[in-house]
Amino acid sequence: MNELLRCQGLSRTFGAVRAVCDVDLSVSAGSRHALIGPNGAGKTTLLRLIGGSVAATSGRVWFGGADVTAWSQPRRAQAGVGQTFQHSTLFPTLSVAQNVSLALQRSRATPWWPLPRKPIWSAQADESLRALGLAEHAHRPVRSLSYGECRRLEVAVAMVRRPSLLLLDEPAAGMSAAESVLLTRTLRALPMEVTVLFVEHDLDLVFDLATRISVLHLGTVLATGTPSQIRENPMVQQAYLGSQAKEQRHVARA
Amino acid sequence: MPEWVPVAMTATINGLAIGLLLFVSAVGLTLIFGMMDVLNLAHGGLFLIGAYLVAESPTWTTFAVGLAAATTIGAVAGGALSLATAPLARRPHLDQALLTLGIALVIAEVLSALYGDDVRPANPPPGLDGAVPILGHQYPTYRLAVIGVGVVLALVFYWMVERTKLGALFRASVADRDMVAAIGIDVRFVRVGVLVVGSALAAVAGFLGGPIYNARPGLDSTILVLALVVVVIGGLGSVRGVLLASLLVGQIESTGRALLPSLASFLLFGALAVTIAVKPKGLLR
Amino acid sequence: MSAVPAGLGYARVSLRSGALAAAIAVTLVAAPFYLAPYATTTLTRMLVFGLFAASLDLLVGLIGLPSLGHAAYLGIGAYTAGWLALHGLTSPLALLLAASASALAGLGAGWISVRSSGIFFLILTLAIGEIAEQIAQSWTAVTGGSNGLYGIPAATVGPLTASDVASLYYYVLGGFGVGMAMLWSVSASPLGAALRGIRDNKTRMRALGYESTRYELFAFVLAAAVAGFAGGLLAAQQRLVTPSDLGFTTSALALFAVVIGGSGRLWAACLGAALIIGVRDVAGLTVNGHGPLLLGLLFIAAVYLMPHGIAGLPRRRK
Repeated sequence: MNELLRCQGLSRTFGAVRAVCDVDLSVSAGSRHALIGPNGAGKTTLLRLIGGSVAATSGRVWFGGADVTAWSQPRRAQAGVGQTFQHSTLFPTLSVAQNVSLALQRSRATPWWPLPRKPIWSAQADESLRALGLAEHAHRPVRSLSYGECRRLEVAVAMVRRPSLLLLDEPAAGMSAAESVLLTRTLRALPMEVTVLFVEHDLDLVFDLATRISVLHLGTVLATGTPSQIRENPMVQQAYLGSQAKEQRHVARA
Repeated sequence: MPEWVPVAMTATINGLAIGLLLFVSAVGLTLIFGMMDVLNLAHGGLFLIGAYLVAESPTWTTFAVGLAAATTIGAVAGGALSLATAPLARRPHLDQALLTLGIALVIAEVLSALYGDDVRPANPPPGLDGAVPILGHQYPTYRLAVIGVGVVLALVFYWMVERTKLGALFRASVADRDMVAAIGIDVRFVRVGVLVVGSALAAVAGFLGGPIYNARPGLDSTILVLALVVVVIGGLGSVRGVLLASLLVGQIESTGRALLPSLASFLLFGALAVTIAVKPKGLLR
Repeated sequence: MSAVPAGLGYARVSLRSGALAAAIAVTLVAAPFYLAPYATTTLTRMLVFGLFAASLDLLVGLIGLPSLGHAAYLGIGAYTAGWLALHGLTSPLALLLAASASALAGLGAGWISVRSSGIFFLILTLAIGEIAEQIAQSWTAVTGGSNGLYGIPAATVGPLTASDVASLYYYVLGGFGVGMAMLWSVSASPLGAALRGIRDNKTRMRALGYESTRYELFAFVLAAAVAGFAGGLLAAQQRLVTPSDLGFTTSALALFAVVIGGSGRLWAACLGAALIIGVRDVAGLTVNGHGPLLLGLLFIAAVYLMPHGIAGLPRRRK
């Protein structure tokens, strides 16, 4: 399969703390690639290094065959990297539709003149909202949405520009079981042109959705493989899955 | 000896005196930024208070009393400023800046009501009002004295910030304010202390600088801008950077005004622009 | 294009606010007929300063860049227009050239300033503004030094001359309308939504592909251009330009207008500006020329008492 994203020797230190250390990672086009690992393993930092909001201390990032290490975050976004954030960062006073529209309008030049007021909208935007069960909420201001609805909108906004790589940072965090199912269904229904790289603590969701899994521990990649390979890897079991997996499953069911 | 040598010499020594004065006022400003994240626009007003005080101090006795008064007034004003800014700690930077701006306007207007709008010449104390020959050129003694005092103050500050526990706390605050608070150090006292010391330094700098600049309306904003430029060029919260930048800006001000009086301001802007273009966070950050 | 959902409009003008705007426009146009000449002159000044304050609000309120040196661009525009008028160009072309000169200066200053943020931005804009004033003081050959440019001939539009109170008022009102339309068109457009997005959450906008620095520079240059345009009107109105027009006090006044009006709303900035000019012209006569003292006290009071300005008074702070 084609390789869409490659990290080579990627490191990032914050002062004396090495958050990500010499990471090699290859993500093939069309895959659903999960990053798992205990808290502080460097998963979020790795996503940010790929998204471009954090600069690498050393190492390189290739995206779609181009070396994007020196590219700014907006430039990577325009090249097709979409992302969501752990802490929701939607605009609370704007409506759901306006939040989506703000993400859409960049793909054309940002229009200045307000007349005639032709709103920026697309079929893709409708589809994203419908897929995430938000179509009937389009007119509502974001501050009136529930937490789970905000998380879903977060994903809808990231999807609306049809990125070739979608970076999701704990998309299901804080969601109810029903919302989590809806999210899984939506992500699985994404066309193969969209590659998904996601960080998630809910291992049920991970093993349900992922085609490949990388396990991070203390800033390094412990193992990468198919879900069954990871499940059977004794090193991974010891470091991470083991008793925690049961606990996690327990929490997810609760 | 060519004719330009004494001129250049005078300009250089002048630049040194202005630079060290700038250091004394800017170091207070940078301390306040670094510790409290507050842009204190009233800093120039405190400098002007010092300058008016020295204009009232013709003898050594009054000079000593005036210096003590300037230090006290500055310190008290600093305490008042820390009280005034405390409720705004969670508000945007702009709000805090607007508050100190209001205070600056009030100080300037009160001074202009007290002393009028004319220039008040300030004389150095007796014995320092003469001139000494350097390379056959007469040079004002007082400016040499200012250089001496400035060097001593610079050394004291350098030692305090680089070698003492207080200095370590300051450097840690500049690097990561939240972390210092998270470690559990009560920064409130340090904050009040920083505003008191910084404001006292501004008044002292004005007192020492009075005989060079003379007290006049508008001097407050002139000094404020020079100090701000120094802080930007040096890098926010860096004492070494402030020293380096003060000496640089002192030279630009003095040689620039001597050689190209109408374009000196362009030079200052140029120095600022070049620094920001090359090192957006200042020379030593 | 699929069906557009409700709640997407950016510039929905309701019937009520449209009627209000029309009423204000009629009141302004008719002003010289019912106001005494002195009051008309004050209103003229309010319009000039209102446009200037609104241009600052584009920076402070819309994209969240608080500038402490915006008067530099008002002054550059005023000096440009004044100098051109003294050299024979009194037509509205001078206004456009004034706006261009300020835009150019804004491009240079903005290129430096938008690389920074927070306190650094405040300092840089303040320092650059002060340096501009010093240049106006010392570059005597062009600016007339501390005397400024005086005896500026009246502005002309074709065969008409804006020399008496009423014609000058209409000249300024026309300019005010053009400048406000410019600012409003940005604020109400999708571009305005993007600017507000950068103000509220730069990280997110960057993740969506917006090069935030470029937008900030654009806003800086546009604000400078409109300020320069207002400066051109100022030169026509005062017939005199002095270094204090680009000094710190003028910047502070404009910022104050934005803050007491309530930042983020262009009309509120105009209202704040009108209030300040009113206080200065009417009350300034009674405080023995120590208007800045009153102003300083107002500043201090406003910071504590009205964190959201006049526009924020009707709704409670959350």
